[in-house]
Parts: sequence; C-alpha cells; structure tokens
Amino acid sequence: MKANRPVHFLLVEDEDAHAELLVRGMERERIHNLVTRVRDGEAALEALRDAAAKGSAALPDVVLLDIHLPKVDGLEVLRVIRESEELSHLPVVMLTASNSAQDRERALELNVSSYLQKPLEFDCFRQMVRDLSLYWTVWNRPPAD
Amino acid sequence: MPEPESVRGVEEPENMDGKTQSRRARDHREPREVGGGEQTYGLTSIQDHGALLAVTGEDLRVVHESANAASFLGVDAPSLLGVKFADLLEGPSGAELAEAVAAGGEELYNPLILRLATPPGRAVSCVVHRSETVVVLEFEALDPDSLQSIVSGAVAPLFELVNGLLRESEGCGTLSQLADLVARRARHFTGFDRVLVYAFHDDGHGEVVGESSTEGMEPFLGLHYPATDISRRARELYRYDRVHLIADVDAPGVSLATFADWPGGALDLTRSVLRCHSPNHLQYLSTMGVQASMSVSLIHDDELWGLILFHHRAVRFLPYAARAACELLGSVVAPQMAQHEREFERLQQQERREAVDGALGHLVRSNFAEDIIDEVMVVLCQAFQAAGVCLRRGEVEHRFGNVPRAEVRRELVYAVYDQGVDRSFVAEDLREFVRERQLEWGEGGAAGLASALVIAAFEDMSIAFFREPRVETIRWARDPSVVAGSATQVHQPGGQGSPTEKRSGQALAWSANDLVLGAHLRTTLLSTMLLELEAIEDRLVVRMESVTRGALKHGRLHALVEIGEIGFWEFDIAKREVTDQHWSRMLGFEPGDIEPSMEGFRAVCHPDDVDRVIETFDDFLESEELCYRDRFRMVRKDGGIVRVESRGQVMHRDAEGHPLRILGMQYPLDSDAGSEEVRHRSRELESIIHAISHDLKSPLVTCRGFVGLAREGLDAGDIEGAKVDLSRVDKAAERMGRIIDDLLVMSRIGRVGFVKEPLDLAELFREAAEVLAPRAKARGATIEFDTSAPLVLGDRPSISRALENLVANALQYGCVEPGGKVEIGVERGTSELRIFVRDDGPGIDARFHKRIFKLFARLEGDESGTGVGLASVERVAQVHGGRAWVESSPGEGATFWISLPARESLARIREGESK
Repeated sequence: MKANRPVHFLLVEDEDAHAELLVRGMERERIHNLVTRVRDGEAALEALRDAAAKGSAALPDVVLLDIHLPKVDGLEVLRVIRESEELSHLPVVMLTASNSAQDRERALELNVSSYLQKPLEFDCFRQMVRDLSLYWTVWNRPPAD
Repeated sequence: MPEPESVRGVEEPENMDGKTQSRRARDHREPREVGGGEQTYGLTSIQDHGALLAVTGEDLRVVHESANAASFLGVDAPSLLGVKFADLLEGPSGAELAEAVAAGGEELYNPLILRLATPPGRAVSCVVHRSETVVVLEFEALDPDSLQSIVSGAVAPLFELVNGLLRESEGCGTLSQLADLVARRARHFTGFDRVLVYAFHDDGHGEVVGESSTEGMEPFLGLHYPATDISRRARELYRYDRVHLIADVDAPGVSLATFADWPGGALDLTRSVLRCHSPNHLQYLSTMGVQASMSVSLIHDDELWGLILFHHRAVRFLPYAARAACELLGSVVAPQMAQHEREFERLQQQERREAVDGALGHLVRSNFAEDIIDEVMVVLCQAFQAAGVCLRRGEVEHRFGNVPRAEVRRELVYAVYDQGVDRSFVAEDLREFVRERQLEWGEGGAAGLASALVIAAFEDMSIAFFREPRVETIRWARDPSVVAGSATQVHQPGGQGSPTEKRSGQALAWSANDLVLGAHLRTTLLSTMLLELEAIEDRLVVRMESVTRGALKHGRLHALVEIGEIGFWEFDIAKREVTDQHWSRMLGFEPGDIEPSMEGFRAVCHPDDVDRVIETFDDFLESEELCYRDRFRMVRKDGGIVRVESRGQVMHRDAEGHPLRILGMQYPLDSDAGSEEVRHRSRELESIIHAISHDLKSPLVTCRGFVGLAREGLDAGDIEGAKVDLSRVDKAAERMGRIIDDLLVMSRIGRVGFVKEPLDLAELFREAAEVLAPRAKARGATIEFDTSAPLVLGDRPSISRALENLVANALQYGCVEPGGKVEIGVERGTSELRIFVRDDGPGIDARFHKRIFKLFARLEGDESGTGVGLASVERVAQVHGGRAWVESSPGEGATFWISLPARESLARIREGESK
C-alpha cells in the first residue's frame, strides 16, 4: 500500500442525509479518501463478503456502521464481522444517533474499534468528521502491505 | 442652480413622455459622440464680447466667421470669409500661429496673444481649438494694461488659489465643508457675487452642497433639482466645455456665416468659449437678477460629478487665464469631492447595514412579536429612506407608514416572485406600474407615493419599501403654465420672493447602495432565521424530551392505575367523604363497590389499624402540616392483606387557612399483584424512549448538519447551494413532524376517548379501501374487501386507523409493480376474530416478522415511512385484547393479521342488543 493511497471507508448508513453530511464533511476537510456506501446491514455484509472473496486488498480500510439499520442492524453486522475469520481484523466504527447505554455496551462487548455518537451540533459534527478522518487516514493508517 | 442648455420638451424629446425621468444619471453620462450630424443643438450664435473665425488647418483660410469678426479685428471689409488669416497678423504672430497649427498642439498655447497687422501693435487674446477639420479661433478683447497681468501677474493668484485650497482642504472633514471652501475661494478669486457647488446624485438629480455669496444674495444651499433640469445634452456640453462664461445675459447673440466654397457643414460650437446659451436659460438668469454667469465642470472618472456655478448681478468678463484657473480648480477639487462623497456614502451604508442587522436580529429573536415589529419597521423605513414599509410573512402582513392599496401591494409581491425568490424588484414609477397592471390607484393615503423596492427573502416572506416624492425646486420659468400666466406674480424682482417653486418631484431613485442594502437585508434575514432555527431546535429538543417523558409518565401512571398498582383519593373535609376511589382496584374491587365515606374506608381498612389511622389523619387535619403520610394495612376483597403507604397534600383552604380538600395517593408496599405486568410494561416503555430519542434525533442531526452547510454556503456566497441544503432541512423537519404526529396518535390509542362500540367491519373495510383508492390507482393496484364482514366491538378511530395503516403498507411494499392486488377480509375462529390485509407482493423474510412491529423499525432504507405505523397497529390490537402479526415468505406476498377476542365480536353485541 502506498502512503498516498486513499483510505477506503465502507459507510453503512440508511439515511441519505447523514451519508451526505459525512461525505461532504470529509470533502470540506480535503481528506483523501474513498467512501463506499450501502444502506442496510444485509448489503454491508454482502459487500464485505464479496470484497473478502476478491482478496484482502479489496476490503475497506475502515467500516463506519450505523446501529439502527434496515434488515440487519448494526450490532448484528458487527457481530458477524467479529466472528468471521477474514473480516474480524477490520476496524469498525459505530456511528449512531443512539445514546443508549445498552447499545454502547453491546458494541464494546463486540470489540468495536470506536463508538461515536452523531452530535447534534453542526460544529461538533464537523469536528467529529475531521477527527475521524484524521485518525484513520493519518495517525492510525493501516500498515502497508 | 444649474445651467440648462435646453428647454424641457424641446431639445430633450425623451422627456416628453416622462418615462426617462427615472433614468439613472449614469445613462446620462455615457460618453457619446458630440457634434457630427447632430445639428439640432448646434446653436449658431456667439456672445458679442468676442469674435470667432474658423480657418482651415492647411492655409489658415477663413471658412466660418461671426458677423462681427471683421470689425472686431479692425479690418475694413464686410467679411473675412476666404481670407488667409495669417495675412491679418503681424509677421511673427502669423508665423507662430501657422507653426502651432501645423504642429497640431495649438491648444497648448492658449491663450495666444496675437498682434494684428492693423493697427500695428494692437493685440487680441485668442483661444484656439480644433473642430473636425477646421481650427476655431475665438478672440476676446485685451487692453494693453491687462496684458501684463495676464502674462505674468495672473500666475501668482492662480497658484495661490489652487495651492491655498489644497492646503485648506486638508482640514475639511466633510463634503459640505470642502464645497463651502471651494465656493469661498472661487468667489474670492473671481469676484462673482455668488458661487455654488452643485452635485449630481446617482439618480441624476442635483443638490447644492456648497455656497458662498455676498450679502443680499438669495441662499440656495440644500436645494434639490430634478434630473430633468439639466438635459443629457447639457451634460455632454459640460463634459467638453469645462469652463463657460456668460458675460452678459442681455447682450444680443452674434450669428455665424460660412464661406460659400466650403464643402464642410456648419460649424460645431460644442467647444466654443463664446458660444451663446439658449434664450430660455438667459431669460431665466435674467429674471433671477443674474447678469453674468459662469460654470466650471467637476469631472471625476470621466463623469460629470457636479458643477461650480458663478453668478454676478452685473455684466462681468473674466479673462481666459482666470477662467483657466477656475477650470484647474475644478479639476483639482472634483476627485476630492467625489472621495468625500464616497466616504460619506460608505459610512452611511455602514450605518444602514448596522441598523438593518440590529432590527432584524431583534425581530427574529422576538419571533416577529407584534410590538417589536412596529419598532423594526420604523428602523427599516429610515434605513431605506422610505415613507412606508410592508413586511409580508405568508398570509400575515405588517405595514408601517405610507403604503399603497392592498391590491397594489399584492401585485408588487407577484412581480418580485416573478424574478425569483432571491431577487428584488424596483418600480421606479409606482403610478406607471399601477397603470401597466391595470389596477386602481385609489384615493387613500398612498396618493403621494412615487416608487417601490420589493425584496423577496423566502418563498413566503417579502419586504416592500415605498418612497414618496422628494421636495424639489422647479424654476418657474420652465413651467409653461407659470410662464404663460403668472410669472410676474411668482417672481418679484428685487424683492424677497423666491424665483423658485417647491413642489413634489420624483422619488429618490433606488440607488445601487439601496439594492446592495436590500440584498444584505435578505441575507441577514436568512442567516438570522437560520440561527434562530437552531435555537428553536434546541428548545424543540428540550420540549420534545419533556413531552415524551411526560407522556410516558402519564402512560405509565395510567397503566399503574389500571392494574391497581397505585391509587388516588380525594378527601372532602366538610363532608368527611373520600370522593375518588381509584384505590379500590388495588384491593380487587370494581369502582363503586366501596362507599365514598369514612365508613366505606373503615370497611376496607385493617381492623387493628383503622382507629389509629383515622386519629392520625384527624391530627394532620388539625395541624399546620402540608403533607400527610401514613402506612397501614388494608383488606383485599379476597381477604388478603395489603400493606400500603398513603400520602396526601392539602390542596384547598378556606379564608382562615383551614384545609378544605386533600388530594392523595397510595401504593402497596409489598404487593405481588400485577408487578410482573408492571415490569413488562415499564421495559416496553424504556425501549420506546430509546426508539423515540434515536429516531427523532436522527432528523435533528440532519437539520443541524444542513443548516451548518447552508450557513457555510451563504458565507461563501453560494446562495443556490444554501437553498438546496435548506430544502433538506425542510424535509427532515417535516419528517420529524410526521413522526411526532404518529407517535402522538399511537400514544393516544387506548387512552384518550377510547370507546368500544359495535362496528360494522364491512363498512370499515370499504372506508379504508376508499381512502386509499388514489394511492392504489397511482401504483396500478386494486383493493378488494369482504362485504359480508361481521360486526365487532371496538374503538372506531383506532381500528379504522390500523386498517388504513395496513392497507397503505400493502400498497407501498406489496404492490411494487402494477397489477398488484390488496385484499381485506376476516376469518372467524372459535376464540377470536381475525382481520387480515393481504398483498401479492415480494413478501417478507421470516427474520423480520417480529421486528417490523417494533417502533421505528423500518425494512427499507427509504425515508418515506416513520416507523410508527405497524407499531401502532400492534398497539391497537393489544388495547382490544388481541394481537397483530404477519405471515409471509419471500415471493409469496404477505398477510398482516389483527386478532380480536371472540367475546368482543358478534355474540357479545347480540347479547347487548337483546338487553
């Protein structure tokens, strides 16, 4: 992996508006990345399995996962990822509007990489996108192959 | 006081219809080719204190002459046409002129001092300029005494004039200070009786901004003159002829003649220094008591910024050098004046902006409170220099000051929205606008209005400003009616009477600054509203949370009462009666089983406790205590013992402070009855809280995010982008509203106005099918229903809503392709009656059968549903003692069921009817 290769995010988000906010937020921060977006948990698992079948290079670098998702919810997706041999190493960031302690605990039990609550404040949202992007693109860049 | 070159309606045909009156000064000032074929204005006479010759550039042969030229130059001949001009001069003078003309820079030598051949040694001052192919020579008298002063002595006062002015002007903080200084200096230098500095404003109207005069001269400072006072042509002339003297308004003009063999046309006098003015203007000056007059043009950025006007009560001639000095003065001060004006406008604009910002902030923060609006309207009126303002929000209209009739206001709003939402519309001539739209002007207070500026801020918000005509000074001499009849009455020469008339003219035109301020108002309003929107959202979140919690508490309380987990009582002290017995349930009684008195209470209280309890209660009544609290045992209907805690509070007291009524509640301390159900119910409520907080928060994140993006867009000037972003906010807010509505409906199921009555299911089916027929048609689907369905007992609104929910769902998710079919029917079982809604669509995976009934669980990623529909269907079934479920497998369609206990069905109704 070259240093300048864009970081590939798989964004699992059913709300178009939130997906757009996130992508536009990253654009504004001029963060070099690639975002693939799916709308529900089932599609997310499908995408991950397809990618895994093509080899690890096809896998996203980070999965951004909402909790409340149609069909298969985010916690279930996380569970499947952690139990799958070829996917369990993936960094998974929960990104949700839920402030339920239960959701959080469950996600932590399932070894979520981080758990972010979607902030109401726009400025905080922007800050979150910035931190998130920087964290995964610069500071915590997956090791080169 | 302007110097008109033309008479209204004679040389300015555009003014005939009045339409161009509002034309901007900028238009007037557009550089145009002057001269050429436009002979209409080429006045053909010169003033008689000088003479004019026009000679060819090649051999200085005279091709045009003024009638007095020969005599003025001392030549004894009727005409000089065809003569070689150099022959009339002394040798060196002739050679000098020929050389200058040949070199092409003759104007640099102005004024030339030419020595005539006869009589020898006589000199004349000659001002030379080129006009097309000829060289124009204009002669003015020069007596030997003043010769010296012109050549040498004039330099000192000229230097002093300009230098002194520059020095002093540094101390001038404002335009009027500078203009007064210029007028004073210029009057001192020229000796004229009165000097005015006249400035043109953006809309072409003029204002006297500086003045200096000897005693007895009528003041002009601050007077305004309409744009039409100085015609476009006059303006052109002022641009080319930067200093022009009228030595004697009563002197007869001298006509011009052209050499017969000359192939060119008549002479263009545009740049002639001797050129005559229009008779009207001369008459005007004369009537005003002015005998001599001079104008100096103030040119800045190649535009006519203003004029310095000189008036004298006697004939006055000013030699060329002095006039040149005045011209130089004009060139020097014009940029300074323009600079002062710009600075003044900048400050003024800044003040206006600040006023607008402050007012709007105030307005929006007060949420358009009535008493604030009036204040704000006053400020906006002042900022926009308007006489009236009209703020329209949706159907609400706020008005202040002088505004036109409602019909006209409405038409203006249409006009601005025709231009787009973020636009403004200017009606320079409101009467014309009214005529064009074939409206009635009306007789109301709006009679005096002249122009309007309308700004559209949002889809449903616009602000219109109205201006009244400015008081303008119209010279009577130019008003035909006055000239014809009563001129002498209006003007009293030598007296105190004013030669001018004040009357309503046009409105101050909407300047570029006004439009900029309008745009600023729109943006400020937009961003203020955005900020406010955020604040409202904050409040909304807080309110929503409290409402949700309140509703849940209420719901829980209700449930607790229902299952007898908690009881309420109300004690009337005078009657010693317990007037409410919600607590009867707790003991297994039905309401009404226990007598509402102390005796009734004695009957259910534990015999070992009852006396002490009543004693304690009476002690409390005697005391000043606010709260009653006791623990005791009670006897259930089935004989079991319940330990309870009872608490009460004095709610009403009489005038002396004795308690009248006590409200209280009690709850079992160690009850086992219903506790499992309570725990279940409370878990359910917890999960609802979570679901609500998540699903309402989600659109809030969207709102905030896009409001933020929109604000960034606005900051960057991207109005279009901001609008798109705001439409997303709209959608999210709308969705939030729908969710809240649905939740409210759901929370009311089984709680508010819940009445079980006999319902004709077939009738309900038909209604549901009818309500959703349009949606079915849109999706190319059909709805069939069982027309022989039985009667049931139930709450009509909630069952009807549940049916509609199910049918709507079937259409939405079950009829993906045209030709789909939805079936509504009923199955009778032994213990229950089952209503179904069936579709033949793609079906639902068994994994989701349970989940879809959960609040906010949505199968599709679409945002059309609120996630409340099926949850409320289930709730409806539950409150009727039944349940809801789905049977489906992928590809096989889906059937949604609601079961109602059989005892709620026909048999029970029949039984009821037979009673």
